[in-house]
This record gives sequence, C-alpha cells and structure tokens, in this order.
Amino acid sequence: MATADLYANVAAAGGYMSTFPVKPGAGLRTVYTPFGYSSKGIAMGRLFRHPFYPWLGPGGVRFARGLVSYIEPTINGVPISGMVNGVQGQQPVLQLDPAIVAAGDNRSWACAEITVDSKGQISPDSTVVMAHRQTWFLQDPLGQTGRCPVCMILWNGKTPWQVFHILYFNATAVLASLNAGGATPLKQFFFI
Amino acid sequence: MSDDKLHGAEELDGANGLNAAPGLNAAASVHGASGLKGAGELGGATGLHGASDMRGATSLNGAADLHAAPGLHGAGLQGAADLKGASGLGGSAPVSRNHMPAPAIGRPKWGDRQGSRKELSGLPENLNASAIMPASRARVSSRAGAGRTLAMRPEPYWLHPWQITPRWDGTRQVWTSTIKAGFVNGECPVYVSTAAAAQSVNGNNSLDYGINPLDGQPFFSAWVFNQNNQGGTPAIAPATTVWLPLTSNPLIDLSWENIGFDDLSASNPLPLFFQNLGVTPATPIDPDNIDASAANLLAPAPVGNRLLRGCSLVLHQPRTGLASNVSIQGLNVTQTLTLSQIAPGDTLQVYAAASWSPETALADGIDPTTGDYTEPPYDEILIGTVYLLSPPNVAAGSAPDQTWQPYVQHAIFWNLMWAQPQPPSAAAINQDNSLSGLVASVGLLAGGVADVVVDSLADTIQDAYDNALNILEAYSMAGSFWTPASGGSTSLFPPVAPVAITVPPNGHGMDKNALIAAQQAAAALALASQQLDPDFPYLSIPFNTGLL
Repeated sequence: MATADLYANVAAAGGYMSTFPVKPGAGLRTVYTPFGYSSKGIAMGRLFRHPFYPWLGPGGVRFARGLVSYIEPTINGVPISGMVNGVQGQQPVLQLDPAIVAAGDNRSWACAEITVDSKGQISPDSTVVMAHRQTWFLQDPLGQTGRCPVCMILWNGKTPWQVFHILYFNATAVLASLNAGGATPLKQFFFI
Repeated sequence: MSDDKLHGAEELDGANGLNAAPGLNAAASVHGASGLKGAGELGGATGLHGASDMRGATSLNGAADLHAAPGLHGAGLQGAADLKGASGLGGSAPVSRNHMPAPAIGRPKWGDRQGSRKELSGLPENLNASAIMPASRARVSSRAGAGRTLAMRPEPYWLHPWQITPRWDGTRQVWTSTIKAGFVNGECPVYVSTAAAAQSVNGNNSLDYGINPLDGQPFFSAWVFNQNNQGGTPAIAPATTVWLPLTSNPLIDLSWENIGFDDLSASNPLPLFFQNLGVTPATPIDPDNIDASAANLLAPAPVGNRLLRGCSLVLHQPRTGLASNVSIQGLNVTQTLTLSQIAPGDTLQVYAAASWSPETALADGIDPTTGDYTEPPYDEILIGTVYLLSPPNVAAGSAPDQTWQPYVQHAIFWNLMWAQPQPPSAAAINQDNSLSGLVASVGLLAGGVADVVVDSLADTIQDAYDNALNILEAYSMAGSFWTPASGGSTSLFPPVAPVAITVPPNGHGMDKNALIAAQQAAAALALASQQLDPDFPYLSIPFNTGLL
C-alpha cells in the first residue's frame, strides 16, 4: 500500500480534517501534521507540599514540616517531621479526642502553641507544640502562650472526616504589648 | 525478531517477538503481535488487533486500528484513529483525533502539586470523528464560530484558598460561583442565604449542600425545613436565614455590572486584558457637550465588539466601630468617643456584589464637627472579580448567558489573619504627644463600653475640626488583614509606571537605570495584558505594624 493511499485511508477512517481550527491554549503547543493535530504539553511542576500540610488518618493528624519562629513544633516531644538529630524517624501523630468537640459544633482545630521562655520572650528556648483544641482562639493577657490554628477538622459524630489546611507557610510569632499607658497590661500574640 | 526495517510488511499475524523493531512503517496488519516492546515507530500500521503489549512504543502516528490493544503504556498516539478497547494507555501522550473511551480517571492526589491541575471528569464516552479527545490534564473548549481551543492544565486540582470557580446554572439560567474555603484567623466564612434562595437553586430543595459542620447533618435536613411539608414536597419557610460555610461549597449567585462599551457611567475600569480580547472601552459622557455624548451612545458598536460584565466577591469581617459626637459651646469643644457594636446577626461572611468599592478614607467628605460620625462596624476586602466576556457582536445591554466566557481575577490567595486596634482609652489619648492640649476622661457608660470624653479649647472652628478628625483617624477601629507567611511569598506584577528615559548631561550613552526600569514596566504591562492573576506563589498581604 502506498503511503499516500494509507494516509487517505487513515484520514477517511479518523476524519482528521476539521472545518474548525484548533488553537493552542494555556500550556500547550499545537502542531498540524498530515495526520492531524499534535499537541505537546509542558512538563508538570515539582511536587511541593506547603509547611504544616495535614494528613488525616485513622489515628489522628500528621503534619508536614513547618516552623513557628524558626522552631519546629513537636507532638509528644517529637518534631512533627519526625526528623531528630538529622535522622528521619516516624512522623508523630496528633491524637484527636472526640470529647474535645463542643456540643452542637462539629469542628475542632489543630493548633501550634508557642510558649515564651523563662524571660517571657520568644527565643530559641521557647517551646512550640501541636495541640488539638476546641477553638482556634486563646486569650492570654499575660502573654505566656500564643495559639496559631494550623488546620480545622470537621467531625461526623465522633469520627473526624475532613481536614482543612489553614496555615500554609512558616509563621513568625510576635508578642505585642497593647493598651500602652493603661492600668492593666495586655499582651497579645500575632502570627505573621 | 530484531529486524529494524519492516516497511510494507502486509501480514505479521502471530509475531510474538518484535522487540526493538524500530521501523514498522506501513505494516498493514499486525494481528496478535504480543510483544512489541520498544517498537520505535509504527506509523501507518492499520491493524494492530490484539497487540497485547506495546510498552515503550514511542510513536504510533496514524495507527488506524488498535482494537483490544491492552498495553500501550508510554506510546505516542498522535493521530491514532480508532482505539476502542485499548485498555492500558497509562502514560501515553495526549491523543488527538481518535475514537477512544475516556481514560480511567485516577483519584486526585492530595497535596499541592505546583502547577498541576485536576484531571478531567465527565468526558463523553464516544466522540464523533471531528472531536478532539483530551487526555489527562487537558481540556478542549469549543465555541461557535471561534473554533476549538485545546488547553493544558485548564483547571487546577489544587485550588488556593479563596479561589473562585464560576459556573453556569442551566436550570435557573444564571451564573453562580463557588469559593474554595478560606479562613480568617482559623474561622471559615459563611455565605448567608435564605431558604427560599437555596430552594430556588434547583427548584425543589434537593441540591446537596453537604454536611453542616455545626451539627453534622445534611443541610436542610432539620425538621424546621419540613414542618409545612404536605404531599411529599418539602416546604421551607422562605425567609429562613441559613448560614452556609464555605467548607460546604455553596453556590453563590452573581449579579453583574456593565464594564466597557455599554457601561453608561463609563466609571468602571476596563482591564487591558479584556481590551486585547476585543472589548471596546466606554465613551465617557461629556457634560459640556451632551449632543456629542448622545451621538456616541447611539453609535453602533464596532464590528467584533465584545461586552464585559463584572461581579465582585467580598469578604466581610464584622468588628466594633468608633463613633464620635462633637459638641461646641463657645470655645469649649467636647468630643465623645463611643464604640459601636457589631450589628446583630452579622458574621464573618462572603457575598457577591455587582458594584463594590472599599470604604473611602476617613477624611474624605467627613466633617465630624457637624454631627455624629460612626465608622462602619465591619471590614471588607475584595476576594476577586468574576468577569463574563460575551461572544463578538452581541447587542449592547444583553444579559449574560451560557455563551459568555468567564474569567476570574483574584485579589487574595491565602488564608488570612485579621485584627483590629485596641479601643481608645483616656490614658492613651492623654499620653499621645501629638494630641497634647486635649484632656480626655472616661465618661458615661453606654452599652457596657466606657465612653471617652475629650475636652479641648479651640481657637477656631477649623481647630475643632482638625482635633476631632485627628482623634478619629488616630483611634480608628478599622482592622487589617494579613497573610501569615513570615513576610514572604509575594508574587506581584511589577509596578507599571511611566519612566522617563533621560540622557546624562555628558551626552554619553543612555540612562541605564531608567532603561532597565522602562523595560520592566513594559514587561509588566505586557504580562498584565496577557493574564489576570500573577503566577504562583501569588500575593501575600503584609502585616500592619500599626497593630503593635
């Protein structure tokens, strides 16, 4: 079979010729050939997980590595990435307690809680832990502990069934003194 | 068999081993060839029935008939005309112009794959001969008279927070949108709707809004929505207000404002992006030459003109506001500051508005000496704008329908934090050196909040005005949003500003800095004319250090 005849048969069978042009959209290069249109896509981007990316499993929530004021939060003393002294270990799991969910509100939050050092400052001696809380809000006028929501967990009865990522970047905690000149000192954490 | 030249081979039935056969051009019939691993080129092979294993076959251009070829991993199949029953096409390159069942749609992977997109679903099982079959991460869009566009990664399967997805509701004949759930401080906004509106979404209250996170039950499943149920049709109290969290992906009705050619006010800015797509700018009305303006309004649209509509989606954060009352008795000016409370029933929410603009600055058109002034008890920030672009030559004033093309321009991309300043105290006002000369004291109690009374002696009314306005500006309760990103993650369009290119006095060469700046401005202008949103990692909002 001659090549031209083969082309003709293929064209007849597949209907390559179209009355409409095919235009390349985003991410594609389109080339017209005797056999039809050929499109080539650009390569996919690299896999990238944001800090604190949460995985909800039957045992609780695990988190991708993230930092709060350059300190990696811990769960039961183990950094959330599982990396201890340069050795990759098993990632710790934040246990989710159904009893913590408020009645009538099927939500709870996993939060990074930072506690100031013995001098009342945020320093490398501060501690950051992951905690499962009923609310993302924490009012601590003395400025000892600040709470930053990392993800929200939706519950179906006593079962966690969906998690929403909240904190996408490493965060920096700032401890601010408010109501300057006021009689009662008031401190508040900002996570920026 | 390692023959690298099999051109014109008519029959290869039962050829079990064709490994590494690089050239099988025009092989008319390769029935039952079970091993074609590494076959580099099978161009024009018309019959490959039962070819069971073609892993690594890199080029099958023009292969017309590949019935029941179960293993075609990695094959390049441009122009393959008939692939019915080809069950294993994993990893094959985009396929065009063929007959093929929809490939198995894999479960989207969790995580943010930068630049990756959601795989397609709902593809027709059989496309006609002139159709284009999109492979994974590809989309074919077709519009009458405009041909077909084949696009890669058209819809991200990872959506950033606040990402808007417009869609046409064919039942109600309206445009709606959803917003990927975003968070403010850790709280998810709601979309406030009424039961009547929710019911009208599909006419019978059967739209699945998902699970209400507040009670874990499906929305509208409570008895109150069915208490008037008679005859099996759920009846809902029409005025019942429902709060639908964004986590349940509610449909938000959109309303539209004219932009461009048929914008009679000529006040809505027309993005350059849409001018390049054929939208003619509006002609402003000249009050000094009404006749000419009227002639412009009645003038026919340019050939190929396209219309544009816009709708803003807004994030609404309730807060306390500062209220001020100023009384002047002789030279003694008394300004009473009070906190206005959050409006009853107000909550963190999103809403759609045809026309929205941020609150004007406090000093604009406000005279706090002439009466009471109360800040709005809320902060608002634009989430994004949905645009609808008409087909060419649509009559001015037309309502958008499904033939219009939606575009979205986002203003925020990441979850937010929000805070507002502390309420003003008499001590703080007295301590503020910039306001020296004023005497502030805690006055009457109103609504549980202490009023702050500021007494001052003013030389003139203008002084009283200035003092009152200064206090309002200094102690505004307006909050601010920011992105918790440690100050990073910003991808802005470079600033577009006219840059003068000057010649140095010595006359030698050009001003290189100005040239570079001009090039950057030109590049930014070109980029803004090609896309509405900046590229990943988008824009983060900096922290307002005034809160500290």
